[in-house]
Amino acid sequence: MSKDLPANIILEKNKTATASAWLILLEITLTDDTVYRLVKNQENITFDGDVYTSFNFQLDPASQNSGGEIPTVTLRVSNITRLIAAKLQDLSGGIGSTVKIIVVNSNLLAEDHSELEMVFDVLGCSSDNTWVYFSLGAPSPLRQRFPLNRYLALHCSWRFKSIECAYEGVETTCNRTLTACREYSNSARFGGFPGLRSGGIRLA
Amino acid sequence: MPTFPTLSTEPIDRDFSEALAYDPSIKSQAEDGTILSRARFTTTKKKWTMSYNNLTEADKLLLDAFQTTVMVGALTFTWTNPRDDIAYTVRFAEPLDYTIHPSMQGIWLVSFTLIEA
Repeated sequence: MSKDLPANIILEKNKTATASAWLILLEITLTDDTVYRLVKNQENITFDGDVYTSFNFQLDPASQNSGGEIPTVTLRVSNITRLIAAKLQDLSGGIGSTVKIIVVNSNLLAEDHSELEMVFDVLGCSSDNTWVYFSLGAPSPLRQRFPLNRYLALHCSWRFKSIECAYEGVETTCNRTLTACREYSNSARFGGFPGLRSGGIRLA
Repeated sequence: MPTFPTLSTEPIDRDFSEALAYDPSIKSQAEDGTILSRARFTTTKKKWTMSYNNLTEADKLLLDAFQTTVMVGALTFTWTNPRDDIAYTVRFAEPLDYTIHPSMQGIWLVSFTLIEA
């Protein structure tokens, strides 16, 4: 697939000799929303307003075969400090985390590098004394929510005291039923669809 | 950050060397001889190799204690280059290896390499 790169990046890419470096940036978003931004370089890099910390990691080439398996990429992140491994143990290996890989040119950090981004899901994870190994693959369509929304008659979709719920009373728990919502005098914000009950009105 | 100890002697001139710790460029040569090249990283790192050939027992003890403090290459420390008086943050490239002076009793020789952190 062709890339729609900015002209400056194309010019830099086509040079036969240049002092600029093509850097690989990693943005690892764990399942608890912790974000690690790392760059394979010897100094930190600021890109798109975020600081990417100089860190040691390796991207191994994608493995492909004719067996119909989904290609995977192995990402090895330094585990010398045990920082990431300890975090992953708390998150059951971080399965389901996302890894964004961005390739940027060190002299053109202000340019739009969005065409050089790839997003992977973490399919597996292991570690030893030196490395944390992430097995990366394409986002699985089976993990996407489908259908996007569920319409339940008497069960509220909102998290208690969330922005949508907006309850500000003294109660600390809610069983998310319409009855409870009425008791809390908050039924105007009820996140269910009472009209779906038998006998209710449905417009389709 | 620890600082490299002050010894009673200076490294000897003939063995003192300074170089880049690694080649920061990446190259690929085409069949017609054309070379494509670019930088691998955005900075370079130096390394210095030096020898001391008349360390006293006291100097050796000082260096030994310092090596233990920084756990060889585990901890970075500040070292002032005696040639340009600039302070660098460095680490030992390998454990110190002493040899006894062949003709002077109680005097030690040591050589080591420091790599910029």
